[in-house]
Amino acid sequence: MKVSFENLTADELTISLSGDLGLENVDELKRILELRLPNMNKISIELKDVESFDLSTQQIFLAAAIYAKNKGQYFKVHFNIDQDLTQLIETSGITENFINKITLETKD
Amino acid sequence: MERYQIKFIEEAKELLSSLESSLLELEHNPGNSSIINEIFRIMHSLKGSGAMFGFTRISSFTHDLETIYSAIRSGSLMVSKHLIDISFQSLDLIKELLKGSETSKQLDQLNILTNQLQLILSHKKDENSAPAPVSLAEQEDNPIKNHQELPLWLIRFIPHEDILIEGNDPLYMFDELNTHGELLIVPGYKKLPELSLVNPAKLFLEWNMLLWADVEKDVIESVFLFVKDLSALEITPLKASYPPENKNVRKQLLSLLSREVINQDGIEEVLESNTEDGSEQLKHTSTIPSVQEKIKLDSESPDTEDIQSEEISIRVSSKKIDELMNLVSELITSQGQLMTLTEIHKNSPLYQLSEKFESLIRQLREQAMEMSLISINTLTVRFKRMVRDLSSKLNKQVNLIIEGGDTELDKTIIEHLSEPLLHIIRNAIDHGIESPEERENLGKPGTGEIILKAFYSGAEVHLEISDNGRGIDKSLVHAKALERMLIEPLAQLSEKEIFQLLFKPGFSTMESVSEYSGRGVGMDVVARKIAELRGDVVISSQKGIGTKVLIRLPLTLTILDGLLIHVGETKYIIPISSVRKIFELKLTDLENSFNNLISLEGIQYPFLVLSNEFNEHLPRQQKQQLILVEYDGKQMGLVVDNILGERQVVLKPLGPSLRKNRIFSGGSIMGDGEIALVLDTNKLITKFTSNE
Amino acid sequence: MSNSHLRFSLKNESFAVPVDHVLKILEFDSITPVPKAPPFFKGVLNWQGSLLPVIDLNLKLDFKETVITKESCILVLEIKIGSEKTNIGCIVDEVRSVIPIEADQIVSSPSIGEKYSSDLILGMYPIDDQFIVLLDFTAIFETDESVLISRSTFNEPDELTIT
Repeated sequence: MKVSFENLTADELTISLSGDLGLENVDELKRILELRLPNMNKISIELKDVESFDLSTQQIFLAAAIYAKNKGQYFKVHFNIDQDLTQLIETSGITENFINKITLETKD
Repeated sequence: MERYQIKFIEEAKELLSSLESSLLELEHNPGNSSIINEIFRIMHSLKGSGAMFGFTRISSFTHDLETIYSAIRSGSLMVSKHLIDISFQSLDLIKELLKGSETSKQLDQLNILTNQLQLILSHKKDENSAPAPVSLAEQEDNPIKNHQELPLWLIRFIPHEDILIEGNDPLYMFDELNTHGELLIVPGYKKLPELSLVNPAKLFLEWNMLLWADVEKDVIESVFLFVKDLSALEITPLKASYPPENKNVRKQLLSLLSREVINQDGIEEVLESNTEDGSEQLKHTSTIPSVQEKIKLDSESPDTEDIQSEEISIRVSSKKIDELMNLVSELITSQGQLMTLTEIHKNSPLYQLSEKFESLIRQLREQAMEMSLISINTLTVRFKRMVRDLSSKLNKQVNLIIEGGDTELDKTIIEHLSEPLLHIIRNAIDHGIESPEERENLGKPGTGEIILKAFYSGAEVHLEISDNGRGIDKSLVHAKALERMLIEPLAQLSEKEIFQLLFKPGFSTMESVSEYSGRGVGMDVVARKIAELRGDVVISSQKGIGTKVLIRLPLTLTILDGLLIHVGETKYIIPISSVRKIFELKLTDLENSFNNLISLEGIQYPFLVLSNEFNEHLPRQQKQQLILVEYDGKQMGLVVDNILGERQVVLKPLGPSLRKNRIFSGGSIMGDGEIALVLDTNKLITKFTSNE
Repeated sequence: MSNSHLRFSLKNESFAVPVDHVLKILEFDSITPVPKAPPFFKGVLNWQGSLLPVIDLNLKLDFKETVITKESCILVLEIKIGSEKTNIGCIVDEVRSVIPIEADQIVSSPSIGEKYSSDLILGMYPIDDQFIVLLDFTAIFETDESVLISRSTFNEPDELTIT
């Protein structure tokens, strides 16, 4: 998993993620989200060049989205990824029903 | 996998600790069947989970033990002293094995014990075993299949938490279902903890799905083949229908699927109306599940039969308790701010509401604090075991009596209390209690007694460890202190002061350091550890009669009663527990004082002017307050500009970069968001009085 | 793990710290002083309900004390002292932008000469005709701890000199 940060200001941050996003890196991903969410009002996640992705990653995004929603923060995940992988991810119903829905509601 | 094993070790440790206390009980009540049952149950769980998580050595070893206790349970074996000794040794061995690295010494021990166990087993009487009841899984009805409409399956899938760790990603199962037909899927996340509490390798989600596919039930089951043993899977046939195209219908179905109790009739109705005409009817669809369905679901739930009428307690990781305490602390701070803001308008409804909040928060704080308290009983098994082993090694007879074991203390304090208490008890057995012969010659009962008594005293907990052994010879202590040059030759010391010498670094009354009490840890370490917990310790003793060690501890480390004071522009807090008296002084009194000593009520006290010390300028106000503080029998005055009153505050650490600071133990965030540093009067007094 | 760095300045020199370690950029606010602490230790701040120690990074590196302006900020950093992770606030003159820094382009300190104490920096990074100094915060604050222990009075000049 490669992580880079863009756009760090007093209350905004964009996190770019690429490479292997899965069980082996989900602890690290959780640490990042847990560290950043309380400190920023607006967090965007950009996914690109993703080689793998699994349910644990989706689950942690969901937990983050719920956290942001409860705090009235902006949190959005942009999936700029491969068609096949997108299809696979969407079979869980999480992206469709929750992550995007929740973030749309918190957009002001 | 490692995560798994850590969890097993954690559980096993808990089981072993219950086992230890049950064995101690069994020793006193060898015929008590409920204790035997309990021991059997523990062995059984150890064996089972050991096998599951790859601790095969532990598992097979425990199997032998389990067999023995099973025989005892059925009456074909008797409890003997030998058996209990072997059980204790086995328990210790399992503890060692749990540490992971198997030494050859451990393996030898394992072989010896296994042989011993076999030997014991060979003595048992014959036993009839009843055949185990066999349960048969009920077969579901065959799916309905008609017309050109597609069969519809309602699937409820609750994966096992560890499904991802085991290498099974449900994403691929959903993907496979997708290949069989049309899938409508809704995840449920009611079990997903808050972000910071999520263990990200575990899966907390569950799914409800509708699958329109011309397949048999076993085809769907086969998709979940590798995971269905540990996960919950329910597949129910619904009335066949056309997969919905209409967006509104889909939305309606998604909403029905996101319920915990699925309304099957509701789903079928929605689909029927879909085939008939538009979505107009949908609004009238009942979304309340019928009673019948509820009953059906309940009776299918596998957990129901396990529910017992015991008092329910849950395991919570101590990290969560810490987090709860942090949140409560923040809440107290915020409430303080709210109070400050609303206080100005005492008649406003906002102020009244704020007052109500304050009382609720106080209750919440008490509840939360109570949760972080654990009883002293959690330590006593270790103590009993140590007394048992050490007294038999030293050929002494000692009875450890625990009084007030249910007294509770902050878990952090309990954790740090175990070593000092063990040391004190060890000392009592080794140096205090005499041999049975010696005791009888003295006219004492042959068995010595050590009493550990715990009780509340105000906002403190007192622990008293007393023994009826030989006591401490005061004059010997005095002589030793002189020899070690710990005291001045002409110093007049009270009895209390002489005994306190035992806590000085490098003091030991025994000529040779004993194997059991020596270990390089002296009473000075005990005193230091207790002081780190903001408590203190006092010894009293009577030669020939016995020794008593009294430890006084605060109930909690995080909440503190303090005196809020002003020094210059800044506020500080002095812990009330160290304050003895307060005097009002004129500035001139201080200026006229000689050699930093001030005479108050006929006694001379050393004093420190805090504004001088902290801000490097002399106090400006004509009236000053002198707060007399005490630690370790030494008193000194702290001169401050103003006393603002008593406050209950939450103590926050200053962080590692300031840990070496000898003046402040931490800081507290006040109602207005300002920080007041908390003076560590104990360290201040020690530092100030030793400089002189 | 990530190559993103936050660029900031002290006395017109450019420095950078991995964004991984930057928890927050705070505007300068009043700080509660801690008596008897070293001069670079400015005090503590109420941050998210905890006490955040704040140091003047200029003073810590033996530059002249920070003159507080509108641009002054407190960087909340997560650093390791010993085996323990902790948060610390650093007063800096100005925060610039986030830049990617490629590890293979970092010039190691010995080759730069003796302008900076090589113990305290991870290297230099060339950008726009100048060098950005990559500070080793772990080393800086580990030294901090030992400095605090060994000294009996706190008025001696700071030992961490950048010559």
